[in-house]
Amino acid sequence: MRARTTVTVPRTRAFPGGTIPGILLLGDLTWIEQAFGPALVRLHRDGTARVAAAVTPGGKPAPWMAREFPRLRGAAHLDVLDEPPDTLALIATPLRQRPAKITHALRRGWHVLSACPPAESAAETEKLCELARRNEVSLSVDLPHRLSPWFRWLRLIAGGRALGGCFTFRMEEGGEDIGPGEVPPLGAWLDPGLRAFDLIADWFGGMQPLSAADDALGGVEAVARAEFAMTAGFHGSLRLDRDRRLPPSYLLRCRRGTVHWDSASAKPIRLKFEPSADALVGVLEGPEQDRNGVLAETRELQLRQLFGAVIRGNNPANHATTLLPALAMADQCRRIRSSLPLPWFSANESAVAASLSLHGRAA
Amino acid sequence: MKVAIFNAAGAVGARIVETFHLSGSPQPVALAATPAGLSRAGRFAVSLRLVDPRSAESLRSALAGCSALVFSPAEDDDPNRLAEVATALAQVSAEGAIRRLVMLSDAAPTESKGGAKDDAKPAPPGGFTGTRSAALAAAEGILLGIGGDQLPLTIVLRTGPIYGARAPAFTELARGLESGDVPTSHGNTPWNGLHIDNLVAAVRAALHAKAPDRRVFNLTDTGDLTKEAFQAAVAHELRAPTAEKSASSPKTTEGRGLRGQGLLAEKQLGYRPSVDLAEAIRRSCAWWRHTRD
Repeated sequence: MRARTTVTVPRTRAFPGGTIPGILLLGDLTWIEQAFGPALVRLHRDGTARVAAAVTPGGKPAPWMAREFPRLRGAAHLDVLDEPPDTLALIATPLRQRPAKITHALRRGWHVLSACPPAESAAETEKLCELARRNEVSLSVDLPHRLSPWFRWLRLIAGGRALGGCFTFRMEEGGEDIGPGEVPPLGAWLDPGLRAFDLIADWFGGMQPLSAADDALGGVEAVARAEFAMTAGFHGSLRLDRDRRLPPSYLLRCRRGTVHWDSASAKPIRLKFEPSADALVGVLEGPEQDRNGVLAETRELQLRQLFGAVIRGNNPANHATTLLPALAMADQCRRIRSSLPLPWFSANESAVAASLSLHGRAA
Repeated sequence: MKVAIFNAAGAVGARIVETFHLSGSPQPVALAATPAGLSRAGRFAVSLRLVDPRSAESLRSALAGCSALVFSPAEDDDPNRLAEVATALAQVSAEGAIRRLVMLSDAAPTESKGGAKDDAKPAPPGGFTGTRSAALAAAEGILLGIGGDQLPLTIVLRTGPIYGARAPAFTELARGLESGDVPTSHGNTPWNGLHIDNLVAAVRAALHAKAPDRRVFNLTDTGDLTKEAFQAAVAHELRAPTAEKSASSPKTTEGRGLRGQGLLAEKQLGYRPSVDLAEAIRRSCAWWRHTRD
């Protein structure tokens, strides 16, 4: 079995009025270069869009920008830029500044593609969505996993294809951050937790956390665990671990068998049909391969879908409202979380840790 | 006292931040080259700083306000860059307010045959096993080369394999013992490991010792235990299938490691191991079970 799929890029479209949409870059330009660089260059070169402006330290474009987009205008502050309405602002600022920058962009009539998440909570994100609606622009979120072949393939299995209905799952995440890195880092419930919550919500529908625990001791969690009751009537578990930084691993138990995918490239996906001993083993393209090409393609596809949705006047597939269930789940887990046991601590350390975690929760 | 810990991303750096913070002193400042490298230290309300370790300017800014530095190369640090990093650290530390620099090194001299040397003797002048060891040895030389009465006073703590929470070598061992994938027969090869908490105790001693020599201190806490006996003790604690094959009992490890190796470190630095071998193995396995389950 070889579930390798190619991402198809749609035909280039014209923007309203026949103009070429402009793109404005704001935030962590190193991350933007790594995540979106190839996609931006392709769109710019084929005339689909024009990378027009960037907010950079000192207003000076980074070398890669100057090389690839010679007419790009740099500015030290967002206020200085006078980009026209319908410009797409690609925003990757630190999370604590992100809602303010998104608000600024939406009020100026710009569409926004935000690094994940647009804001720390579901409520705050909902407000931004409402602001986008009022200003008749779109607010979408960078969620490249949704366009990856492995996501769609596992979604079919989760939906009951091949192995029948799913009755439990176990997911592990932590190998790779989903957004730009920042100091202090985001807690694991948000990064990479939101990707996991988004997968669960998309594959299995509604859910309620039964338990949640993490290791935050006055700061943000690096390890977190949760158990869920799904609306469909089964349970599942999630483990987020930035301590070990293992690649994502997904285990789905279904009525007629199990599927286990450890996304490390060396380990193939395994479909086991029960009660027979038959198994199918194959390779799914995962994050390892994504980094070498597919992810760049999915990011390009994401941008093209966004422009297409703007032309048609509807919401893009990655509209921020579609992330609300995942954000709500992260909020709930943080609300009900307890402290994980840390059994390698000395007795004194355990006592101090207990007081810190109590203090942290109270705060 | 504020102590900068670079690289806080590694298992040892993370445990130093954890221990210092939970004990209330000294005050740790966690440094790492990437935001992801600060996620372990970020669990606490401690100062977190990004640093480009090859840039003197970035190091100056990251070390601001610190009077001591613990240089603990992470397991996945590029060996080819360690000398460059050490040079930048030496330069910035010498011109700044850093009064003491403690480097942690697992450089393994080829002549040691895995055994901890009597550290009253100078470190062997010969080669080192592997690229990382050679790079660490070069970095040791650069930092110890800060000469004469010039500050900072540099101390190198040289260890064998580190075991304990998050240590990659221990993770590999525990996983291997449980799956039956590690060879269990090593003859009489000495183990010479050091539990991560004992290394932290040695770092603390090195930071506070009065007028120690600038030099390398070798450390181990497993005494004359062989690699085979250590693995058997870990397998026994984990109740791994491989434990059945060995005749080892917990008594093998009780009380071991509280004295006997690292004599010079005890004498000059006032280092005392914080856990004996049995407790060290218990804590290590407790971490592994917690992580695995």
